[in-house]
Amino acid sequence: MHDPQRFFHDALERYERPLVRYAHGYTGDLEDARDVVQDVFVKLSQNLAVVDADKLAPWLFTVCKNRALDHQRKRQRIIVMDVETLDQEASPAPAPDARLQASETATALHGLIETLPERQREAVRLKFISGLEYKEISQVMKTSIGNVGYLIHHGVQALRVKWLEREAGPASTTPGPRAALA
Amino acid sequence: MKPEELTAWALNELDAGARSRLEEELGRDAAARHSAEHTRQFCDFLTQELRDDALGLTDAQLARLRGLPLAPAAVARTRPARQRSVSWHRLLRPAVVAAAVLAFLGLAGYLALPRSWRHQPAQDPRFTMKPGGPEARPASVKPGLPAPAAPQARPRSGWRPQDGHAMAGLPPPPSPQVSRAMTPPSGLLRPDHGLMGIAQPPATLSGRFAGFTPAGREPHASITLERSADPLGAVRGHLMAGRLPPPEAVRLDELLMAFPIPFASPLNASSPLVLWAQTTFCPWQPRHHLLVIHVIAGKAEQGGPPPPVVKDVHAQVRFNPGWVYAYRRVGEDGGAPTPADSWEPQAQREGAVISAGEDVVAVYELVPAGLADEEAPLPGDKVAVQPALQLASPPPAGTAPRDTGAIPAVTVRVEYQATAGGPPGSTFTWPSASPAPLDRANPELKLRAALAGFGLLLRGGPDAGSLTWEQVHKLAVEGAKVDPSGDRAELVRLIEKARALVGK
Repeated sequence: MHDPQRFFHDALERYERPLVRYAHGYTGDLEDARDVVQDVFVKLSQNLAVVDADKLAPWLFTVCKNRALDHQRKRQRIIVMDVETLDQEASPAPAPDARLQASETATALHGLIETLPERQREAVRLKFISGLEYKEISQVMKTSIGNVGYLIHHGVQALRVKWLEREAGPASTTPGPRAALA
Repeated sequence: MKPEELTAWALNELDAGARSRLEEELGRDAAARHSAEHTRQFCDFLTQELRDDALGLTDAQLARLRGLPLAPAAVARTRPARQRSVSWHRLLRPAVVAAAVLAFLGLAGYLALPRSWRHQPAQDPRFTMKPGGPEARPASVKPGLPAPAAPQARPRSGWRPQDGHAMAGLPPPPSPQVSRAMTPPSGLLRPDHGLMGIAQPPATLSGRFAGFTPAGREPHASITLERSADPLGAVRGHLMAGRLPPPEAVRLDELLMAFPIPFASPLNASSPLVLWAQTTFCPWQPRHHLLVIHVIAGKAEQGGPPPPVVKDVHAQVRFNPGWVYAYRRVGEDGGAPTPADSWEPQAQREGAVISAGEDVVAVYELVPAGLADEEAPLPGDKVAVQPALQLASPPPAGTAPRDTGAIPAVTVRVEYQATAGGPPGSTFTWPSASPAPLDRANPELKLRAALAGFGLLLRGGPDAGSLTWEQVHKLAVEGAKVDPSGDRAELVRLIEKARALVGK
């Protein structure tokens, strides 16, 4: 039998940041992502009796994704209502989002990831943004480890091609560190 | 081999057996090796750029979550869901009954009071709110969550940064007691990145870090690009004559350049040099890291002696003091390393010449930041990958990772002038922020570790730390797995010879 206190705190320690990064990919807003992840851990604290320790990661990421999507849907509804009720009044400049403060490279990579097919995108997010292992990703995505390898391989290769195309764009004049990636 | 296996290899996702089999295949297939290495570099790049550990819950949120009551019923985590549902109803019923009884008693008691007592004036201090009204709940507190507990130090195992501080694939930032008085390297780092606290290091270190240069004092170093025609010559001569070489005959910096990397690409006119840098854990000091840098010129296709392909070569390495407390170039004897004049571009000055196919190697031993508290992770510890720190201002063009505006743990830059003419060129690289455990490092890295260890053991003295001949032999055997020309087996033989002589 596990010590629930330790189990919960270990889960918080191990997965808090990967979950915030993962949720951030859906919400696009750091505060919203934090709220989503806080909800996930509150839910975990209430469900320690039924969460299998061996499947903790898939449980957390599945709950997180569902919450983040719910949040996204609610937000879209709110935005639609605001637009209608305010008669499309010009909105003030949006608050700076954490992603906008991130490095240009990271922002560009996030943009490229968004162009991947859905399953590749999800696998790449879980691997590179959340830092999960193939086995954990296979549990979250409910697929085989082999298929995770396939999705990540093709996702990485697609990103590499897109990145090199971007690097070879007209703005690039100096061979940079990416030369080694070619 | 399947292409996805190369990606899994690059991401350390293969088990030991599959990894070993694949690496044997890579040893025989230069094209696949090349492809695998590029994939690994790109995966490291993705990891470093995307895994932003600054994105986490706030301390207040963490404190609240840590204070969450965990219901005793939750202890029985193996209980099936259906039983849990039944027990909920069992508990609910008595609770409802108890509430009803309490409500009845309360009402009866109230009615029993004298009438004047029931209509207490609202201004009675016993019924007024505290000044300021009820405490406002912070916006991010969810109903039902406990009030924030006093901030707790994050458990050590998690390797969490101080607020706002990026955490490392390299070990954690300096401990608070070390960090209070630190001054960031001027012009490099924003004051909000947690480096404000690192104590200004002395110009030279003593004690157990003697011989190391503090990165906080001197973050840049020039890499001397000299290469001996026969790096093993002196050592080989003594050993083959049946004696151990005297310490002064063991030139570690030369030894490290033995056995050039076997998979140099054909010469490419637009980028004649390739930089390759990797990190692993140090075999003689497991809490230190080993940084191995290769500056490789493309191979010429024609026969005859290799022609010089680049001149005026200047190589520099920059250590981010947020990750690296101190460093020393292995084999650079005689005090402090050559400091870089400037991190500004240095092209168009006279510098080294590198010929086609040459591989100039520099190896640094790094003391990770935070090691002073003896809590740096050991190989195999799970560590978070740290996001890069931000520059205070955009870097001058061509002086840093061009479009990231970030300072990785270590950045290596080489500037050169192609002998074929054209404008000066430069290239950068930075190794993964997460050192590979030595037993899972690639054969090239193991070979350099073996060469360094071989030299340290031959020279004797405290620098060899906990290293043994058996470790060095094992590293050499594994490093010689990628050996298309069969040359590397010589290292194994020389190590065996030296081990036998030491035994006598």
